[in-house]
Amino acid sequence: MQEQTNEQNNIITLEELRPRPEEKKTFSDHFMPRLHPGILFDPKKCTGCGTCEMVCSLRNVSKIAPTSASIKVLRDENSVKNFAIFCQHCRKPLCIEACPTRAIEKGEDGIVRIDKLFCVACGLCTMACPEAAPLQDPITGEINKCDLCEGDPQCVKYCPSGALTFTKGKRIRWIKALRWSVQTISFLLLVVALIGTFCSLKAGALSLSCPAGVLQNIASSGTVVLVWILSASLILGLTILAGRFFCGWICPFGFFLDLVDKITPKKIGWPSFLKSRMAKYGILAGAVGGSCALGFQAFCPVCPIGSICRSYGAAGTLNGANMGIVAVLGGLEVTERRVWCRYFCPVGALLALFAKIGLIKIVIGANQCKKFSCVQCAEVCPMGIIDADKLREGISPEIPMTECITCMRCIDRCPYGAAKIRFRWQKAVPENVEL
Amino acid sequence: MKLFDNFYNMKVGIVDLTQLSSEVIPLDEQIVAEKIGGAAVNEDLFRQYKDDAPLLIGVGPLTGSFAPASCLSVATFLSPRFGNLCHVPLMMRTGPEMKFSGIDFLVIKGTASSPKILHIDKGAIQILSAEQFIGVDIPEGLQTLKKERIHSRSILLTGTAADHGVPSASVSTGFNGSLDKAGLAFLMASKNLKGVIFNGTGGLPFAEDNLEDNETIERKLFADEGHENKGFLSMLDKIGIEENLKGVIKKAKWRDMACYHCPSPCMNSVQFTWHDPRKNSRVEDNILLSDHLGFLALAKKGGKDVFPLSESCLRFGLDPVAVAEKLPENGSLLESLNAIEEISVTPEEPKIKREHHQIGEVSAEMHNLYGGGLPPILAEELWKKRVRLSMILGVCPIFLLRFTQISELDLLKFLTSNEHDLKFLEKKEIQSLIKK
Repeated sequence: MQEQTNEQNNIITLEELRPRPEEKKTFSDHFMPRLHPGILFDPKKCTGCGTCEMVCSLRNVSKIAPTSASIKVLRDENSVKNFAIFCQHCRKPLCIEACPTRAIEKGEDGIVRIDKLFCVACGLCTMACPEAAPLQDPITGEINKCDLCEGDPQCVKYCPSGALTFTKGKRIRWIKALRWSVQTISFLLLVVALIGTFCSLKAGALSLSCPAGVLQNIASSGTVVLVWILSASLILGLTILAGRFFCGWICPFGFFLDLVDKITPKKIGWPSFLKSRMAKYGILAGAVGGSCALGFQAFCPVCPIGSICRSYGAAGTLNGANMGIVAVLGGLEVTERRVWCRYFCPVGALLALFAKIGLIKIVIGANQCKKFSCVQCAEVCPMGIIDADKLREGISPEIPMTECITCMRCIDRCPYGAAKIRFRWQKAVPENVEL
Repeated sequence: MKLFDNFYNMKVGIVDLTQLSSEVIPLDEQIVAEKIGGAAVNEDLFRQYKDDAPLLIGVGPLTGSFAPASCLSVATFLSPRFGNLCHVPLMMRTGPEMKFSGIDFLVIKGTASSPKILHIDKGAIQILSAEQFIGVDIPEGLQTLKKERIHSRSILLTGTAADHGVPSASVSTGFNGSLDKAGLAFLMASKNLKGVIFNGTGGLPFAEDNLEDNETIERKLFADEGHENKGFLSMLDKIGIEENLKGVIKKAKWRDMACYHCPSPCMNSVQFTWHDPRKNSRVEDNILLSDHLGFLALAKKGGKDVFPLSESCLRFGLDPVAVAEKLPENGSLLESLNAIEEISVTPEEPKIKREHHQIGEVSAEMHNLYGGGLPPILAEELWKKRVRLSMILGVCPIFLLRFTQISELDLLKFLTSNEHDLKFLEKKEIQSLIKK
């Protein structure tokens, strides 16, 4: 009825005038999301000279007027640090949603542009933007927003300290590609090719055992066999060298959970009273104590890693009981990512003890990252151990290596190169020196 | 003269603190044609208003432009400490913000009956009450500004030392201090002027080819190996610092900081933790170091305690060189901090100091003419030429003292690309336009 009236009155609706472009996603975007072009800011290098504001204003208003620039350098007098505010050309820009006249659009090239013809300078985009990046010109009242100078940002070109760099966003996420490849091969090897062998595998002189299984074996038999220890030492040695690499790259149940996560992207949340990362240590202790009391490996029959390895029978049949365990625990993925790994896995708990004395650590330097609206590292972390609030406050979060599964998603995702892998003895970020 | 049309707003702000009135008048084109700008125009205006004991703040034609380190504004006044006309360089963003606020020169006459603060924006001058700023230190004053929503892109503020009539008080640009060792803060306090806020929300077109000229100069700079020697420490090296002191201060966390459009910073922010003996606790602090001579003077007295001592001077708005002279020899940190606090509240009648010693290769008399805070890193004659050039054109004097390869002609090219005009400007011998 309303449409009819509009038609009769020759009123053009906003939808007709500025239809929202449909988001086009290719099949590969689901697995390898495209990175968009943008400017990276290194606060360590920024001297606060304001040259970026000068050249930007020259483009915006044909004169040097720093307040008319699309980039703003904030000079914090208390911390004596500089921050730059400019459009991040977000993946899902909130300014577009907020704009009542649809003056802001994200182009195919990933650049978010403002069409000044439609802009009524209401400032809603500034309020919606987590960076407050659309900047209102104090003289003209117009909204100025970075359009990356159509691919040749002048601020980057003239920045004398190299604090600004331009990225076209064509970085290949090689870590992601490599991890998925290793996980797939490991899964096929342990679940399909070498059936039921993760718990204990013998190939000639080489013996490989699950360290938690070996621990239960020792507890149940009351004897320590050197071969058992040696067979478990491969994974434990790997853990000392590379943290809980097994959990992030090899574990077939972990890979299964990652796949389930792909089809259950929305999470309902794990009850907070059950959120105890210490529970897995309790389960490990219980498994060892139970094995000692019962005289057999108490946890192994219900272990989801063992279950998934045993689920595909030798004759190609599926093992119902094992499949049931895998299905139930996999179902928990609707609550949080890798719930089992976070709170319950005793294998992970044992590896965590070795990761604590491991040689590596993951560091996220807030100084380098700075962009409090980003926190993509926290979003992609399957173990939920990156404190996004600290990053928003500009503090480098401490990554507990006992919980980190060294999947390196944070390193892969960080657009600022702030997430890094380091040796334990290396400084994460320059420490404040006491006089 | 049309030569400077793009470089000035062509406006002079006149503030009469006695009458609490202000007006903005056109800048006499003839003065600009003759004196070009900065300290030279200030001198001319000083003579016009000399009966009102004026304080002048002015910019040069290149201030705020694409010329490298175009950060400078100059305060010209009769120094209560040195007894003669002084030109104090005010750096950081004071110059560009002043120019973008719509006026090029500011003449402050008379004395207010109660504390006032000037707010300049869009070519208009407001005289605001500053009662709430009296007796508060500089960081607290800046907080008060924020609370009262007084927009301040750049602020010159005096601290508690000036409020108490301490002659060695020093004006501060934000919380970053300044090179004022000539008593500018004392003069402001005697006029009941707490601060001047420049809110540069405007802009100027400047010349279109300035960006290319800037690139040419930067290429010239970056080609020079000496360019790598930047930052506060390298300046201390040039002035001369003892090795043991260098070792102590190198331990802190430093970060290069620059004034407006400076490609080679000479300042540093420094982050340090120290044990505060008054609170008996560890404190983490950040300060910006911009006063090389002041820092060296404090370092010689305070050694490893130089950072908390510098912070204390910045907080109260004191000249560190004058403070260092009064600090106890081999005193503990607590004694030194107490001494600074004592200095900041002890009023004195300013004694005119006529110094005859050398500061580096520059005579103290010459050095004091330009505020007494510029690093004496060249021989006197060259030092004087470079400083005068900078003070007239509105380019950072420290930058010109460091990079002598940047010639006068390089800078004049920012004013005009016309050969005839360039020759005319060269013939003027800009350095000679400052009379004192």
